[in-house]
Amino acid sequence: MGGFLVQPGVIGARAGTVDTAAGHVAGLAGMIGGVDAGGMPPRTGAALESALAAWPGALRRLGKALDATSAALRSAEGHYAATDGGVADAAHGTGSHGRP
Amino acid sequence: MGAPDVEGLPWPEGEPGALTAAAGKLRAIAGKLSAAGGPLATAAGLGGWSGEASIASSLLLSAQTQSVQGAAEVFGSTATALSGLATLLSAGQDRIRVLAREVRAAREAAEAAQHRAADAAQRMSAYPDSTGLEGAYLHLNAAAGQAQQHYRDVRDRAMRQAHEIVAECKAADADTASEVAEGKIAATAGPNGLPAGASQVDIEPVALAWLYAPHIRFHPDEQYLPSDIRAALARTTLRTIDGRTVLDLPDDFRPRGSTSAPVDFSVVQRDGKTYLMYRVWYSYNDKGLDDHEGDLELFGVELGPDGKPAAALYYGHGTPHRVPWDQVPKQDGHPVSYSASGSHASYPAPGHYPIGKVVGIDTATDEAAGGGPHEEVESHLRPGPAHYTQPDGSPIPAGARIGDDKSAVGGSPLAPNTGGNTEPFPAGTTPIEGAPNAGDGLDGKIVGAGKDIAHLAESGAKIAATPITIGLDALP
Repeated sequence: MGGFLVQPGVIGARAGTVDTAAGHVAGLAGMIGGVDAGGMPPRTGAALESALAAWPGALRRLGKALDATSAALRSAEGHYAATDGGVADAAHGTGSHGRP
Repeated sequence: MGAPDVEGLPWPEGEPGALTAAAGKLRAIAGKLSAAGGPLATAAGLGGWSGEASIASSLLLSAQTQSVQGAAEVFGSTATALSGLATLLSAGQDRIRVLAREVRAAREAAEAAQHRAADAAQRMSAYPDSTGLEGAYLHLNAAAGQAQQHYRDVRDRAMRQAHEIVAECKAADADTASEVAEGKIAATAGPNGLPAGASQVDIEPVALAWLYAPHIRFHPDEQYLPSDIRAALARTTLRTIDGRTVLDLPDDFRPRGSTSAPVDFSVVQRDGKTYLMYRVWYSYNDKGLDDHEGDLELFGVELGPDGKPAAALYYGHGTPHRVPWDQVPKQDGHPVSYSASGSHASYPAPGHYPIGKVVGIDTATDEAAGGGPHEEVESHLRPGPAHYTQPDGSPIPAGARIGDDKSAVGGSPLAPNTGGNTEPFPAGTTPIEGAPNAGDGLDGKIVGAGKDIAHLAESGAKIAATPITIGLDALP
């Protein structure tokens, strides 16, 4: 297994960025509801109406996918941080996992 | 808003302002999406974390960033298309207004000339001996004729030009509608249902699954609509009942379903061909002697070497029927499948399909008809695994059925790709070429539409008591 480097704070920052993006994307799904296909040439109006019905769902799915990514990153951050703390405690003999 | 008064000239439909307004809003959404995608791209490449998990996370974030950017492109390009149509429409309508003014001026001039000639005629009749009045009348009458001819010329030329403008606007309307439709697909047809860049559509079979997902027409009498197969499997318990291995479902778990339940799909290669396979799950098969818990119905699209659909596979009961794509009924490019009442078997057209024979006589039929709910599967599509698992994640044993019913003629279904339920169809078998014969079975002849002899038997009536009512056309 190759070596790896973990700075849990970096993962948390990445999760924060994804969180923000997820919020923006999900919010935009609502903005699509403000687009009106009325008064347009008939074929374009019908096509746009159909698209306007499908697009909010697509953006909500995208928002959910980003949410899931953020949750996974936060979980990883927690695991790595706990491992880091556990190893540190063990090394110092102060934690529940330390030497007797 | 209706067409303005343009002297009877044809008028291109639509309001440029409506197009411009929608384009502006879509452009704003595109801008916000782009703004959201920027930091994501940066986050995928942050330092301070390396190793396999970091790489996997970066790949995932890169894909999601592409989806965000792809969606931004879709909204941006749709806005551009709408703006282009608005410009063309506005110019066309302005030009027709100008033509209408020219026609109106010519018409009013002709009417005035005609009026002057009529006045001269009146004065001439009042003073019949006046040669001056006669000369004036002749002059004015000739001028009126010329003005009328000029009006006709102006009107005919304007009419021709207006027709050309309207035709041009209609063509642009059709082109724009196509671009918007492509945008709809591109914004929903990416892997996992996420938006994808337009370049991803039409290439990957996974994306094609959204393009060619079936539109299902349910019978008005249908009691059980699709539900989530994974939700059902999550509630199962592996048991052995009467020597049969079953994934037992709770008896009180029988959702009526809806037309918005998730439908899993898979992409399968067989004998050099690619198949898009759709799995539609129902909690119950409500079909008289074949009542059973759980019902899995497949629908398939066979792709040709060019990546375009070559045929659809309709799974009535057992071996599917392969219907060439040009004979498949479609809605907006999606294949249409009629789901038979109770059994949920899929057919390409409404009809009474014989499904069981006793001494050569059709004793049960599937009745497929429109008029009930519709489902557009692409709206609820979800990539499915090749093999599902039990709730604890362990594999489903070969031959295990989802549900504990063993009916007289069938029973609860096998999970996809277990036992004989191999996708797209069991190895060593081939589909039946052509649509099934929607021959008239016993439906409607004995107990009316929506019923068949199997239902009749279940309700306690005696099949033997009705032989005389069997139509001759039901005989083999």
